[in-house]
Amino acid sequence: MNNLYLTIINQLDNGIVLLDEQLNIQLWNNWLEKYTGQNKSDVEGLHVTQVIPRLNRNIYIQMFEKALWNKQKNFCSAAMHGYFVDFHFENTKKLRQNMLIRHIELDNEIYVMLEIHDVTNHYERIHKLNKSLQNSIGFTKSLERYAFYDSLTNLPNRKFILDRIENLTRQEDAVFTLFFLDLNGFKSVNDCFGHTQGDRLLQLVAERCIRLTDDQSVFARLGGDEFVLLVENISSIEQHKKQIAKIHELLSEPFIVENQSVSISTSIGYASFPQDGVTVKQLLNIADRQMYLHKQKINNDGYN
Amino acid sequence: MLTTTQEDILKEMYNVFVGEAANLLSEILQKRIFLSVPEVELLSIRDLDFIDKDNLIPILNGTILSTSLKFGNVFSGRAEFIFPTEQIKYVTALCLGEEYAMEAEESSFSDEDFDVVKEIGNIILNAIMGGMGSLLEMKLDYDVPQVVLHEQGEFSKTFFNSQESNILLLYVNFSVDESEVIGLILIKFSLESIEFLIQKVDEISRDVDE
Repeated sequence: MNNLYLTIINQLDNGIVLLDEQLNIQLWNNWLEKYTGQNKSDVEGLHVTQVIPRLNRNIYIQMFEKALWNKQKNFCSAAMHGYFVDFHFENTKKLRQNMLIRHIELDNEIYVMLEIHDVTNHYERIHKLNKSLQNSIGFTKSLERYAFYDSLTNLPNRKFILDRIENLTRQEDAVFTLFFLDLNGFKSVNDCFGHTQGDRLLQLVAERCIRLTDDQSVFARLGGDEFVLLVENISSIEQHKKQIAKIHELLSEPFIVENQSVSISTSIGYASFPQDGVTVKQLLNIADRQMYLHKQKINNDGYN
Repeated sequence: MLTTTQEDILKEMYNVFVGEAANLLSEILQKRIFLSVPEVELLSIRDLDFIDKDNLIPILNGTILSTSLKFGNVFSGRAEFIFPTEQIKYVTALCLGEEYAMEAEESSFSDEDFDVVKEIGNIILNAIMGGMGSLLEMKLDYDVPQVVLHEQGEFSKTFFNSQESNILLLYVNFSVDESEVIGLILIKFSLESIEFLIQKVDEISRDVDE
């Protein structure tokens, strides 16, 4: 082969192998020598599968035959094939190579040319980029969660529920009721069992009360032992009573904290939009006031 | 533009061609891959009727990834294998055995996705071009296909303004294990080439009748 062409082939930044009709190696460029550690003098004249064992599969032999006799060109992607030639240095990276198979005709002789491109670093870079993108999406999501959810109970927090109520008050024809819940005797749980157990009780209450919610309602923690249940599209006294009964029933079963049974009740007040108030502040105040009256009644009468 | 017999002959031939491609893909990926061509249509771009336009435009107007190759001198044209973009990630995941996660945001593609489409396109178009070459008794000259991402509306604009007015439209069902994806192969021919192809199909039809 012309020396100029050979010099160019040896300057290329990818592997070039030339196979004759018997699939014996006729050319092995400098890039491949460096990459594989196999000298051209050792490999030239050998069958391609002896030197590159990964090509000893029917699919590749067929592709070489079709390139030789039908001038068919084939592209084998690293994504679907992994790699073809081994890297001779110790390498912890997963090798990735693309391979192009072409027909070559020179001085009435036909050859198959294999062009091997190492895309290991390229693929690794893309995977790292994807991973860091996923991480940053995850971080944004966790920030979002931190801003709108209570870290102890995983319930929507004060900001979330106030925003939601604010949005609803701006909607035409919106009808909803806000139930304000305050646990009775929570302070004594904290005093008797300690704050860790108190926190655990709040988590258990949250887990149970989440069952009250559906696509029309939200259960949120305002702070301390105060919770809010927002229910859309209810307005009658019967519906309110039914909802309150549901909450009491849900909390009637004792909770198990540190292997001890803890019974807890709740005081509930409510306010409906638009009849009881038209702003978030008005509604919360009314519901809070009602809850307080309920609590006083329990303290005086000793029942819910 | 094609008689039922001509359509049936072409359908059968293309199913044989893509069947070969499916065997090769199955072997590469070590998965069961089926390719079939349930429908073949010859259309004239300038005389597309409403039904054809209604079927084609939604696909061609979307964002698509196509692998295309130019072939031949005497028998000439351009073959395009296209996948709607919403299916690309799915195809890549299916082929690589990765879990597919539907992305809410606008699709973005990595070189890996492009390479997978390029290889699948290469294998399928090789099988089709090889088969057509045998049918026409000529060696069709073509290169490894190029992969191009066409933004919304871009492909259909070029498609409808194309010089070659005859399109052989092949719907390709691509299924990996139990999952199915639909791709489209468009082969644009010059008028002389299409006449030559029809002539060959008619010869087969006559041979069958005799």
